[in-house]
Amino acid sequence: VTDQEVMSKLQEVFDEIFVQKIRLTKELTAEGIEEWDSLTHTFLEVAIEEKFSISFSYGAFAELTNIGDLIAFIKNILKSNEP
Amino acid sequence: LFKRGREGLDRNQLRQYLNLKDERLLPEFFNDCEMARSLSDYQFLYQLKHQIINNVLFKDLSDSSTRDILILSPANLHVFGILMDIQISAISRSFCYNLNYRFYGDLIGALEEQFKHKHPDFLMVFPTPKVNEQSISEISHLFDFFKKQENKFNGEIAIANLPLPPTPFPGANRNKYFSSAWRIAKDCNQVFIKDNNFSFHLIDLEFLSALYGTENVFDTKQWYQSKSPFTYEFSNRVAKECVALVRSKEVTPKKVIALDLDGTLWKGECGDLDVNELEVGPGYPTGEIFAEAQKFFHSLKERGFLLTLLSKNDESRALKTIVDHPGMVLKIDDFSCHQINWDRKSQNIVSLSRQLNLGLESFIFVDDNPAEIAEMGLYHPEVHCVQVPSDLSKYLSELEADANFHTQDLTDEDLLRTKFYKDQERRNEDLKAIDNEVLRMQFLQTRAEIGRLNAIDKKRALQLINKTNQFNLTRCRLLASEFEKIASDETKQVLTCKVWDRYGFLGLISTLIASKDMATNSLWIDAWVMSCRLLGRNIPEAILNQVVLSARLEKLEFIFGRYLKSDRNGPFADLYTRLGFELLKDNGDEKVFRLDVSNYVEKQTQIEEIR
Repeated sequence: VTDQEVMSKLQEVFDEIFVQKIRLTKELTAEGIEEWDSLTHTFLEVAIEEKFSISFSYGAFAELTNIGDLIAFIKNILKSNEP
Repeated sequence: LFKRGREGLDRNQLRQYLNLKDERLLPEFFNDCEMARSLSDYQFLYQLKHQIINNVLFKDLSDSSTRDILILSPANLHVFGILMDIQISAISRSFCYNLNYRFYGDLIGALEEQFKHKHPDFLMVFPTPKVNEQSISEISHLFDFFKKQENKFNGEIAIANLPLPPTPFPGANRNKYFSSAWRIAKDCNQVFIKDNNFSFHLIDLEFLSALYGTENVFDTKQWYQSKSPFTYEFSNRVAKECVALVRSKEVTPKKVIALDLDGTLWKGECGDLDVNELEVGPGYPTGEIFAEAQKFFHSLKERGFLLTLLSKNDESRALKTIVDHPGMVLKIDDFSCHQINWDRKSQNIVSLSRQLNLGLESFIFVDDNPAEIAEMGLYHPEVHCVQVPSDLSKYLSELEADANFHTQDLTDEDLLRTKFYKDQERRNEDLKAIDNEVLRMQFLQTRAEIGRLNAIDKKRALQLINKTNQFNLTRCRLLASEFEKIASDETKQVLTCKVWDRYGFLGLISTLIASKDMATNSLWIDAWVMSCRLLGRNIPEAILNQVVLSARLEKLEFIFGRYLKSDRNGPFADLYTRLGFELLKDNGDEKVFRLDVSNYVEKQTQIEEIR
């Protein structure tokens, strides 16, 4: 999987969850996005897990700093899930 | 206006609601809410709803239909709150606010603090679902606290018990260890059912967790990360149960069950077969299924439903089958009335509704024939139709799962009594602040529904006659059989009066029996009883207005009232005089009064009279 593929799938998740339109970039963080509170963060975690059919380990999701981080993290899990 | 996308809700179209400034589009939005299926649907609509409230429509939503629901828990039930918020919006077309209270520690302290500010319409309390050694005493405390609050709290209270914990620790004997989580949770839940002398609702998480499989209930990762205890799926299931509870307060409950015969109460057609060839009861392959279904209907009758028969059959043959078949659980006397003939069922059900004096919206129709179900749905969409499943092994479980058969507690007048007295205290408290009689009446917003006795109310109307001592003008006492005879007598009228006010339903509080006397072209009030709880609200005046109205319709000239003295009814000796009757005869223990219908001026009661 490429960064771009993961990014576009993530964009779909964000479009489903946020009312406000958010354009994803690798540098994007929750900072300054009003809807992105701790609760939305929880929902986002569940929605991403569902979208990619993966499961984040305990505490891992909270440690990510920006979207670039998240993409790398997802790619890592997907890779380790490969047979 | 907004069509759904191929998969789920179209987000871009939903976003357009934000640009709209017209509250008439709210129903459209609610329709979309009802389409929500996935967690992200709910989250999106929740966010959208709150932005609409804040930006666009805030003023329009602060009307009386707004329900305010507060969910309190030491665990974080945000997810659960969102699910409920959107589901309740969708169902009741009214907004509710979820104030998820997030705190650790003293739940009771938080409740007391909350009660100082505001009483929500519905308060739902979820104790933390993780148990420890202190849990039992904490739950007992909570329980006692609510029993004390009952009299002070201005809304409905629902408390959740504990879901059963999925941990196998400490092994096979977990049920024997007082300190195992399994045993603690079960002991805690005993606290909720140790006595039934309370009027709050129980949200039965024990049942739901068992139904769901306890392993699928808890989300340990989210518990440690955000104190959100339940999986999304389980939260959704609990939310549905709570929404059903809130909703049950808003819709007319079902009261009458109209039952088909062949294929519904037994297998086979009674027109073609001998009685012993019809399968119901033990000894037949599928007889047990029908016997269980009949038992189910019988239990509903015990809980206050009326059973009626609605069948295309030969009447005498059908009734004979009911009497003669040894496997019948339901007996002929269990049915309040029947329509058994070859006419359309959609017509016959109207006759049943007239006979019972209950609207079609209170009917449930059960039939095995899809064509009959379809016909009923076409003509009377307000009737709830239940189709007997083609796989008969599912018959009973489908009946039991249908929420229309679920009775909320607190419908029976006897059960309601605790609530009456609790409301009375609050009412007196509130009225103290108002020193003007007219303003008081306005404040109370009393509504009285006065009309002919219907079948559901018979028991209560008779009970009222037989236990009222004070406002019982003719010392009336009746046997059920006597009352039955009066109720079916064409020359007599039985009126009942049901009352509501701003605190809710106050019950059926008056029964009046009158008979027409053609010889004198007048109406005699043979008996009149009223519960003394509601004196001073002009209810006798409202009832008299109705009596005069019906006398006028029948072109009667006079209304006669009688008073027979008893030890207790002294305060009402001059009731008729106060109501404008003229005293005709007085020999101490008996007085007779007369009212000239043509001179009667309708009394101003300051209450809303529904006829």
